[in-house]
Amino acid sequence: MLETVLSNDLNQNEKRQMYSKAQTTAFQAVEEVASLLQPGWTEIQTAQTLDVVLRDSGVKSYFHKPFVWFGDRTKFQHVGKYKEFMPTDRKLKANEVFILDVAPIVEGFACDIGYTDCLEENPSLDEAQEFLKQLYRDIPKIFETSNEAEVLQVVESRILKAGYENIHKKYPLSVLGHRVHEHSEKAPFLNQYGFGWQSYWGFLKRGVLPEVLSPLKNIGKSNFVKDGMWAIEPHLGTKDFGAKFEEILIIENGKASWINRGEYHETQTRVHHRRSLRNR
Amino acid sequence: MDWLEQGKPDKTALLFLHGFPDVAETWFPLTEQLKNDFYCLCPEILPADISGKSAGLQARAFEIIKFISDKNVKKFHLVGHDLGAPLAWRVAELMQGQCLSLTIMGGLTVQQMAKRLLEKPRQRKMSWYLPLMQMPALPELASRFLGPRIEKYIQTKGRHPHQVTKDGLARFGLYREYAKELSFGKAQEKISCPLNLMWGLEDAFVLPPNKKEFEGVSPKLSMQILEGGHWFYLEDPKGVAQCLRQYYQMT
Repeated sequence: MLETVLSNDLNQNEKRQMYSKAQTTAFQAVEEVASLLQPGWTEIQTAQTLDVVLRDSGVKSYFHKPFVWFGDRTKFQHVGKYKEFMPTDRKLKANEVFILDVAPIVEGFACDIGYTDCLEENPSLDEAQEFLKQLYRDIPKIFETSNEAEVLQVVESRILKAGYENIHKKYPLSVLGHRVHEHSEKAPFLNQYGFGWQSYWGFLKRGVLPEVLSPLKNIGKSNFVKDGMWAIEPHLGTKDFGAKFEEILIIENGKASWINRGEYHETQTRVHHRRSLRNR
Repeated sequence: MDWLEQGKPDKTALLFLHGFPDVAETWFPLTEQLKNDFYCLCPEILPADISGKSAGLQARAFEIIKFISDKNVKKFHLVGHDLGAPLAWRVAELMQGQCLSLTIMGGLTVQQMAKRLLEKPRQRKMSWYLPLMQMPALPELASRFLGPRIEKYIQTKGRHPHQVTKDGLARFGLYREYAKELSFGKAQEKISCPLNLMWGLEDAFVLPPNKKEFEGVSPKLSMQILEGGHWFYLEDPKGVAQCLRQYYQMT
């Protein structure tokens, strides 16, 4: 077997703690970079910096390398091919929205998180964040009470009803979320379009479709097992920008909860505080 | 991160980034001259193989950005010498809202140096050691067995007026880290602050610049060629401090 199962000896609770640790490591890196990010940084420089901070905190390998999108690229404007998701030379302007999306493998446990922010006050983004905040609160319940098709439908209809565009439809396989697993940290140099070999292998050996929450599969026929670790990433779009959050949702015996409840919003509060101290 | 600090934090901040084979303390004679008028900060720049941190120019630049943030410095003038030049350029690029000016002393960015090496045979001759620096383990071995000779070469050829430290000499890794930035055909990144070029007339390692090389990369360009070698600011710290003071008054 290519992939080494690292955690056979761990019980469910210990595994959960490891996923939680991975997610916290990712959010700490995002907090560090987002609070020092300035106008003029390119997507590539920002992604490199996220990589630097994550590696300095012990990360050796990625589920996917850091993705960074600025301005209209946050709603995947002019992004079609896979390689166009990759960081570019586009520079950040002070009033533009940015998204940082990182997925490190920490001590063998993968996570995937997304963070949206803007360097200046942005009322439209605040409004979108409020909407995302409510969605964040409701998602565990939606997962507990709906089947796969309904989850996709409810999230999409709420996004559309609030007057936004559904941007996660533009992701590869149009995923609203995907499972995260334990992975080997070996051969980090083997990657394509930013995704480590672990993510391709992990999806392929499990048959791809059970791994993703996607409207593209034949939902009627799929035998959807909800239990497990899911990186959930609803992504909405306005006229000018896109906004998302992404965190790990854990479903055990049909009961859903965020692995570290409120981590996205707490990170945002800390980033804003650090930024305001710096600008004072 | 270790650093040398002189002057009071309520004064305008000057950030000095040293080159090879220097250490933060190499700036001491110059900052000694400036400490009454400025808040001088000279961080220690270590390659990844010594610090154990991530490698690369962006990694070093982010360390500097964190350092500035931790020091609570809002605005600063930036000075980079030798290998401190590509780092200073990157920091100026990333901190355009805070960097008031960039002074480059006897150094070039990786892109600029690559262009020079392609176009100017004299620069190729002066930089004969650069390919050797890229070899794994060779610089470290050379430093181990030929340390005193290398020190002597730097002092005579480069006119380094002080003792080169073993600590500084061990930082070969920075050459390898920065060389990875090289991308053929890519234009030099622009900076949004004024650019000041200060060079020693008899610099034995980097040819003095011409204005054409730096055209269009900064909104305001000035150039000062001074008496001295590669470490001209150590040969005449008082004179260089005066030049900097005048430049900052004008900017």
